[in-house]
Amino acid sequence: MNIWQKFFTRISSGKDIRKHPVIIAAVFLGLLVLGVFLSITMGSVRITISEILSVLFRPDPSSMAYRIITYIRVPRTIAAVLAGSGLSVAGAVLQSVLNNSLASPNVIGVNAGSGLFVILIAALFPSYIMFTPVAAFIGAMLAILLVYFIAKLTGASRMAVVLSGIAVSSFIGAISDTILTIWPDTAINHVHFAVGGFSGVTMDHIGFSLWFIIPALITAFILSYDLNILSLGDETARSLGMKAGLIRFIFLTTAALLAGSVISFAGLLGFIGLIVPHAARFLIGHNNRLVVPFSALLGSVFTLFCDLLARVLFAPYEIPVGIIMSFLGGPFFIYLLFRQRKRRVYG
Amino acid sequence: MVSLQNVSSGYNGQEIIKDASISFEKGTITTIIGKNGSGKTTLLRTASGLLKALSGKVLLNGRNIKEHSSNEIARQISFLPQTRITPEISVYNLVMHGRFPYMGFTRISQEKDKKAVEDALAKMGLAEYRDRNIQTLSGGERQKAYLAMVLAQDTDIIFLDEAITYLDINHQFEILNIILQLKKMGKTLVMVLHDLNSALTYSDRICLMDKGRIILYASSEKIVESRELERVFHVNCCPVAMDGESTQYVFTLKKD
Repeated sequence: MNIWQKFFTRISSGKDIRKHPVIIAAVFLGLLVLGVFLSITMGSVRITISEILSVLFRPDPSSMAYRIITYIRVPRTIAAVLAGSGLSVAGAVLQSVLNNSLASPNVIGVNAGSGLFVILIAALFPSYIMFTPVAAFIGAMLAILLVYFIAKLTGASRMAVVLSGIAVSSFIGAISDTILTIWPDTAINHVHFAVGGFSGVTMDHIGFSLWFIIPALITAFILSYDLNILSLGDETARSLGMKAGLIRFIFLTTAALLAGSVISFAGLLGFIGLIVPHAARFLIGHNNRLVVPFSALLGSVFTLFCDLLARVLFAPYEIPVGIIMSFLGGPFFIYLLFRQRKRRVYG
Repeated sequence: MVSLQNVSSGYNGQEIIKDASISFEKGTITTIIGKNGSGKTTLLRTASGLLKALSGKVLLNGRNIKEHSSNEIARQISFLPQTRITPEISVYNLVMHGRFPYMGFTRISQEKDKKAVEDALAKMGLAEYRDRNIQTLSGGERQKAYLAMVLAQDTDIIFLDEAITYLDINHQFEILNIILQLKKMGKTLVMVLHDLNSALTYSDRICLMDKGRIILYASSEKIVESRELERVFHVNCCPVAMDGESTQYVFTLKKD
């Protein structure tokens, strides 16, 4: 049996594979490289390997291949990688900190909060549109804190977090819709923003967000072990010497930074933050020291391939990547609800 | 050593325990007993530094507990709460969490941490369970895993909140014997128990609470002799000599 047969046997049995994070990391790094390659070459105009090589080694700014690669495909690929890793790590962090497997940026109102502030900037202060990532972060942070405190005051149960998230999302969504009704000619395409996608993303959009996403990812990686301690519950975490309140606040800020920054250039992408951390836990177990970096890796790969599907499924027409993600995420969310019910019934 | 001086404590500014003064002696087992809502867990949380006192002083080795950092406290006091979230992690990783107060910024376990974990697993008889997910363990095995985590934390003072509640009688005895072993290792144990017979049988000192106040803090024999136990719980207490050696206690409800 060769290494691949062993790998797929383990995947199908779902048992031993968790002991081999290196193999899984290697496979997904390989998929990431493949995804990046396909993302640069595929689309309404096909780019060949020789064209890529010529852009790399004999760049000709006047050539179509150069312009497509430099101004469209590379920014789009970087955007997909950043969005996938950022939202997935935000989801992994939120699920652990709120001790709720259904938590993710879109479920607990973070997307809605970011969306509102982005729309506010676009509608009321269009000349400050460059501060969209900052506004998106503030919106995300306010939404997270609002949901967190409502859930805490109403019992802090798992369901309280989800329900307060739904309530906050709905309320903030109504404010956003009101603003868009009064100021229909905002500086952003609302439908495109609400669904989420990477078409039209430029390096200018990404550049500013990078300053938030990279430090937030590094913070999440460094503190990932503390998520394990937090998952034991506040009282146990504090008895182990952790300043649980402070660490929880740092994690919530990190998740808000990640989600807000991604939303500022990719729109309200849903469900990556929910699906990917669960996939990571299925593959490598529940140690957050592995879950956080693997969520980043798997999220990048998942988003890259979803974006590729969005581009080629109805080529030459393109559908927003958010639609693909919602098609996959909706059923997955229902699957999680059934799995939780099964656990309750069978203990 | 932990001692409380005229401590009042509670939640949201509301006093649950009032004017409590007590000193938990080194190398002893103290059990806090009292009816539901009498303030047992609040006293335990306050003494362990997890809940700030509204007034009075909590002293840890003679110094106000407020002057100790959270890490310093965690190296001297461990606390096992009654209700816990059980994450999906292996027994080994759970026990390793007990070493958190000793880990540096990188949170990478050192050789001494690994040795402490191996020792704790061996002492609790959990070596063969090391790779098991704690969610798949029985209540008794899970409790032992958490006690192994406490053991790996290597503190002189251990607070246990209802450590044998919900366990079958065999696991109750097993956990109580582990507690005796911990005492033999020189640890100071303070626990809350609802089983009055176990409390009176296994403890050096009993702290009897009623309506947020400490009524008595004395040996089991003195507690029984005082008849305060019977008044607080509204029961009759009858000591029974077993095998001519140990004394067990039978309780019946008062009929008036």
